[in-house]
Amino acid sequence: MISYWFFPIEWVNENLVHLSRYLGAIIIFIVFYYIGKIVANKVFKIKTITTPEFAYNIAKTTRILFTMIGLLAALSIIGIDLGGLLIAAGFTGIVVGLAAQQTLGNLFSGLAMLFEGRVKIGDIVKINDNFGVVEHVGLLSTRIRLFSGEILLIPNSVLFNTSIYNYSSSIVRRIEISIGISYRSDLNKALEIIRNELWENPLILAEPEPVILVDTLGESSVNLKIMFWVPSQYFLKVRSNIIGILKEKLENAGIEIPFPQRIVWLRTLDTTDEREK
Amino acid sequence: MLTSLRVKDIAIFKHGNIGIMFKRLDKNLVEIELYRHNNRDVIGVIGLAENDEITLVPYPLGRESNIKCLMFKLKQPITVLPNSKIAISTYLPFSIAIFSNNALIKIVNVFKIKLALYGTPTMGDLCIYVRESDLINYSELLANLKIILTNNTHEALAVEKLIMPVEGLGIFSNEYGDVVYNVVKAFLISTPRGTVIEISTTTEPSRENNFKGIIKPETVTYIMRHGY
Repeated sequence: MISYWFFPIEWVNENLVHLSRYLGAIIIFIVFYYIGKIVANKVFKIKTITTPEFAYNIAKTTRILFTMIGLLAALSIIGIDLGGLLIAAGFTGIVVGLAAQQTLGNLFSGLAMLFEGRVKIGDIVKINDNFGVVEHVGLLSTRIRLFSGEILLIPNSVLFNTSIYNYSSSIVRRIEISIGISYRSDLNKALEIIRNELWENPLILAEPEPVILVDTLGESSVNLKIMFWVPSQYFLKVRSNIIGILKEKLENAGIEIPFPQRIVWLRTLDTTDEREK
Repeated sequence: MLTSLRVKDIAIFKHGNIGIMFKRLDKNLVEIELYRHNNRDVIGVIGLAENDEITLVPYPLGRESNIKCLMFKLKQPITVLPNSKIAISTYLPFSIAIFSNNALIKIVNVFKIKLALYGTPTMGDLCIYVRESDLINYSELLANLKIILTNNTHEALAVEKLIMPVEGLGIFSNEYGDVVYNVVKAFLISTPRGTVIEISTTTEPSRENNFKGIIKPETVTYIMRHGY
């Protein structure tokens, strides 16, 4: 009876060395895990000097790295041969690498994109006819909120090999408008009205100066091409606004903006003479 | 300081062809209207009790905006001889700041602000655009500005425009109500990548005669790398 009660103590005495190893391994793992967490938090805070997505992904990688070091240190303390484990991991790596080719491709593309700074959170981009704002740049995929409201998730390997229009990397953008005025209208008056309206709009840049070209002599109108620069964020607003204003001002000044028209001449045959014959 | 007033019903500040009207809407709200060459714009509504005094103070152009530079285009290019210095006395419009109980409550831009790009669309800076030749027709709220151009290179250079850091512009006033900006210095320097202009704002008023700082200027430097 007494020996039954003393059994756990005996077991502890016999396995004290092993127990202390296990305990040490757990402590080492926990310590490394928390160090990783602290370092990751510190790294994430550098987002004030770098981009948030870069800081987020580096912080995440740092945390995983520290956890892995902690795990390897813990296994080493327990007495597991790391050499054998690494050889096994090497073989496993080859197998996993072959099986997860695409995932690894995404990962490396993600890392390359982060270092290159191809897109940033908040950038307005156009990718294969998809217009939207970059919401998240992860290690494996990038999330874009389309202007229509949907979320578009693009694997980084696809994004890495696709042409991206980034509308946020330029502080200004050029707007091109084509307006046709009728042949009967006063061309110089139209040019003056357009020039004045471009100057009146505070968001249209004075430099580079707006350009107004008499572009082509069309079928039903003299076609003008108007080119000017605006701050990127006001592109759509100014474009829509100025087209409306120009239409109104030109019409008020008696300048006609004609719709495509064709003059058809009909030759009437004298049918009575034909019948008499 | 331009003036101080209390708004019982209607209060007006008039200066040349411009006017700012403060119209009481109710016990606590006042509407501000800007009259400029027969145009009337409502520029905002502020919370202001009948007994609160408001003060109108000259304010550096564009300093309240998030635009960092001001492009000042000279009437004609000025050629500066090698290793020489010239001083240009010109004018720059200023805005009006409305203060109440020492708190800035509104900035009124009387001068019609236009924007310009200095440099390339990706690497350049967006600037407030002021063309010296336009100021002939604008006689309202102008302050004297002294620009000192120093050519430290070995060739004669023509300067057509200057980019000034808005943050470095300050306003001074004297007892007669004259308003001046601080002095701006421009140094033409040769670098391995070509000649650049280093613009540096000072803390001195553009004119002598007991001018005191209203909006204190700071020494800020801007390097014009994309031509002048």
